[in-house]
Amino acid sequence: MSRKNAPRFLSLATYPTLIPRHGGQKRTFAIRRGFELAGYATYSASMSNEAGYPPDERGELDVVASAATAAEIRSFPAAEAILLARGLEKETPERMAISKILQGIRPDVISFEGPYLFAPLRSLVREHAPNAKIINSTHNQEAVLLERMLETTPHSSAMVDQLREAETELALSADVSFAVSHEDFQYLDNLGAKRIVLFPNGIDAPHIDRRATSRTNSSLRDNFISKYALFVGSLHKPNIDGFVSLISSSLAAIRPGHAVVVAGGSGPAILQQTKSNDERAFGLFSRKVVVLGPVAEGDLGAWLDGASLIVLPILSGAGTNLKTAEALLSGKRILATDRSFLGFEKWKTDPRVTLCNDPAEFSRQIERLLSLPEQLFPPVVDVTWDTNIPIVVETAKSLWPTKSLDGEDSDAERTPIR
Amino acid sequence: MKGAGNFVIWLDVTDLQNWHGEFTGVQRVVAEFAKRTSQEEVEFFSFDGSEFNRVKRGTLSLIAKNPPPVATQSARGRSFSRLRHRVRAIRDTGRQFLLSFLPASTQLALRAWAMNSKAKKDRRALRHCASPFVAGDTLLFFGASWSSSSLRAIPLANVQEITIVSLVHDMIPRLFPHFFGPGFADYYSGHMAEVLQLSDRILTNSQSSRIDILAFADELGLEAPPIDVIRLGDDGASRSRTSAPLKPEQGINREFVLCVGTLEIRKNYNLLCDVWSLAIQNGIPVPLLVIVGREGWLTADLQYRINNDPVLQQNVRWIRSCPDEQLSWLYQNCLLTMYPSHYEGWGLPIAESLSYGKVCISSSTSSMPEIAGDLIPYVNNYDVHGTLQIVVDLVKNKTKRAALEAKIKKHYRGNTWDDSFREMWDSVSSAHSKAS
Repeated sequence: MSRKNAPRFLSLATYPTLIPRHGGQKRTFAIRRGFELAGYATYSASMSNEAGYPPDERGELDVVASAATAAEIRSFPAAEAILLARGLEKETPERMAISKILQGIRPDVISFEGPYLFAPLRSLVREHAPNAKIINSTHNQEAVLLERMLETTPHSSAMVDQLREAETELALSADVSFAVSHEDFQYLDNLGAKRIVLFPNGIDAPHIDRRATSRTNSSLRDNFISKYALFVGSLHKPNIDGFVSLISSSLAAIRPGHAVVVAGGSGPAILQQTKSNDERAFGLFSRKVVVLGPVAEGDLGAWLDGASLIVLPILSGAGTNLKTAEALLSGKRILATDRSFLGFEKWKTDPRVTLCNDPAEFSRQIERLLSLPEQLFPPVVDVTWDTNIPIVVETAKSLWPTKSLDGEDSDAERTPIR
Repeated sequence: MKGAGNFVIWLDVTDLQNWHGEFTGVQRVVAEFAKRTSQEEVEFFSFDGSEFNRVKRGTLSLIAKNPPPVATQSARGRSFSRLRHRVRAIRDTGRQFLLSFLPASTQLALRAWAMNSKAKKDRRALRHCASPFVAGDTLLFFGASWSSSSLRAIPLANVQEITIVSLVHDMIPRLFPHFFGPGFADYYSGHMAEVLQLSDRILTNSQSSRIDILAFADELGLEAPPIDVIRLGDDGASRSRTSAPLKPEQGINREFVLCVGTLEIRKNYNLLCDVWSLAIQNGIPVPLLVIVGREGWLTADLQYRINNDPVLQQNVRWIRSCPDEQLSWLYQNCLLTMYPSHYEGWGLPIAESLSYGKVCISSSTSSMPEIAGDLIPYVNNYDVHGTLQIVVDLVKNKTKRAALEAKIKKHYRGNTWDDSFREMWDSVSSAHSKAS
C-alpha cells in the first residue's frame, strides 16, 4: 500500500512531542513510532500550556492553551491536564483548531495519551472520524495519583471524581488500552477495559557529552565529592515524598566525600520539603545532597556515567518509572524500593540490585554501597524502547482497517465510537 | 614526634596563612601550638582549595602580622604581564589564521579533539586532591577548617589509615543560629557532622562544649569519637610582659572598666551600653567603658549607637585593634573587667582578666563558670538593672573589690600556653600512638 493510502494514526496529548524530554513525551513518541513502523502515516497533536514548552518544541498540530487557561494553571499547577481539557469543552479557538486537525487528517486510529482529552473531544471524533479505533494510552493510575497529589486541597474530591469518571469512560470506550505495568493492567481490567496490552516503558541509551563529563567532575570537586549516588526524578509527588522519607531524614549515615546527587525537577521541591520538615536537619542536607535541578540530556548522560550508585527511593505512585529503566541500562549498582521496580520485577533479584524499603536503613545502604569498589554490570538492553516497540507494532497491525471482498474499505470489524 | 614507621604529625596552618592582624581566638590557638613544636615533631600543611601543600616553617609567621599592603605589582611585573598577554593574543590570532585554511569540518574536528584531550586530563585530575600525607600519618585540625574546607577535602586525598584530631571550639552556630548571618548555622552543622565522622579524637576547651558536642552527635545518630577537654592558655596578653605596657592613645583619661572581645551580637555589648545609659539617666557616676575588639557581625545598630549616642560618646571608647603591650596596660590599669556574653565555648577574656588579678563581672551561661568558679560575681545576661547594681557596687566599694582581687590572687590557677600545649600534645600523642 502506498504511503498515500496508508491508514492514519493520530496521537492526542496534553504536551507536544516534537522534542521528547520527559517520560510522557517519550512514551507518546514511542507509540507513534510503533505505528509508523507498522506502515501507518502518523501525526501528533496536542493541547498544551505555552509556559511548559518553548516555540521550537511545538509543531503545526500543537495547539496552545488560551491566556485564561494558562492563568488558571499558574494558580493550580497540579491540575494542569484537567484545566487544559476544560479549555476544549466549549467552542473556543483551541477546540476549533483541534476540530480542523481531525477534519484534515480523518484518522483511522486515535491514541489518547491519558484520559483528559477524550471526554471533551468525543463529539468531534464522532463527527470527523466516526470509524476511528480508539487507543487508551495510559501512563499511570491518574485518578489515584491526583488524589494523592491534591490531598486536602479545597475542591479536590470533585476534581478526582471527575478524573476517575474520565478514566473509566475511556477504558470502556477504547478498542485497546496500553498498560505500563502488571499493576496498571489489573487496574484497567477492573475498570472494564476490553483489550489490554502490556507495553512497558523503555528508554533510549544515554548520550554522554565529554565536555559535560568535565563539567560534572568540576562540580563534584567543588563540593569535595569523590563518589556519589544519583537520583533522577521529575517534579512528581512520589519522587519528592520518597526521597524525603528515605534519604533526607537519615543523611548522617553518609560519610564525607560521598553524596547523593539529585537531577531533575524534583530537586528543588525535595530541598524545600526537607527544610520545612526539619529546619535543623537542613545543614546536613546541604552538605550531603547536591541538587542540580532539570538537566540537559548530554549532562544527564555524564552524571549517569560518573555515578557509583543509582538510587530509586520510590514509595508510592503507580505506573512505571523511566528512571528504573535508566538505572538498569546504566550498568551501575542500584539501591531501590520494591515499588520502584513495578514493571521491572524480573530484575529484582539481579546482583546489581539491593532492595530496601526502610527509612532507617536506606541511607546506611547508600553509604555501604558507595564504599564498595567500583563495578560495572552488563547494561540491561531489554529496557530500551527498541526492545518494546514491536509490541506496539503488532497492536498497530491488528488495528489495521480491513477491506471488503470488492475492495471497498469495510468497517464491519470496527466498533463505532460510542 | 615520629612514631613507628616514621609517620608524621601534620598541623593545618591554612588559617594562619590567610590571617592578617592580631591572632585572636581560634587562630591564636593554632599559633600557640605551632610555636611550641619543632620540625622533628610536627610538619605544617595548608589547603589551597584544590590540593594539600607542605608549608615550610620559615615561610610562616607565627606572630601577629600587620595588615597586608594594598596589592601592587612592580613595574617590572606589570610589563611582564602585558608582554605575556600580547604573546597569547598573537598565538591565538596565528592559530585562527592557520585554521582558517582548513575545511570547516576539519576545524570542528580539531576543536573537538582539543576539548576531549582536555576533558581526559580533567577526568584524571579531578575528584582527587594531591597531598604529602601517607598511611599512618596524623592530621591536626585546630583552626577554622570550616572556612578553608581543609578537613572536608581529606576524603579526596585518598590516603588510608590516617588519624585525625580536631579541636572543636564550640557548637554555638548550631545552638544559636541567630547569632550569625543567614546560612552559616546550616553550613556549620554540616561541617560539624563531618568532624564527627572523620575525627578519631576531638579536643575541646570546656565541659560545656563537650556536652554540646555529644548532644549534637546524639541528635544526628552519630557516635562521637573520644573527646578530651583541654584548657586554653590565658597568658596571651602577658606574652608582652617582656616589654613594657603601653597606654593606648584613644583618650582614656579617667578610671575605666574593660571589656575585651570581638564586637559581635553574641558578646552582648548591648547590655553594657544599656547599663551605662541607665546609670547616666539616673545620675549615677560611672567610669569609662573601654571595649577592645575588632568589628564583628550583626552589630550595625550597636556600632551606630556607640558612634552617635552623645551619652555613649562621652562614656564609651571602642578600640578596634590593640597590640599586646597596650592590652596589657589596659588590663593592669582597669578597675575591673566585664564579660556579659550570651554563650561561650570557653571565655578566654575572663581567664585573662583573672591572670592579671582583676575581677571580672561575667554572665553565668555555658562554660563561663568553669573558668573562675566562685571567685567572681555573675550576672544574668539579660538583666540590665541587676548588672548595674553589681557594677556600681564594685566600682564604689574599693575594699570589696580589693578583697575579691586578693581572693583571685590566692586561689585562681590559670593556665599558661605552655600548660595548654602539654595537654594538647598528650592527647595528640595518645591518638597518634594508638593508630601507629
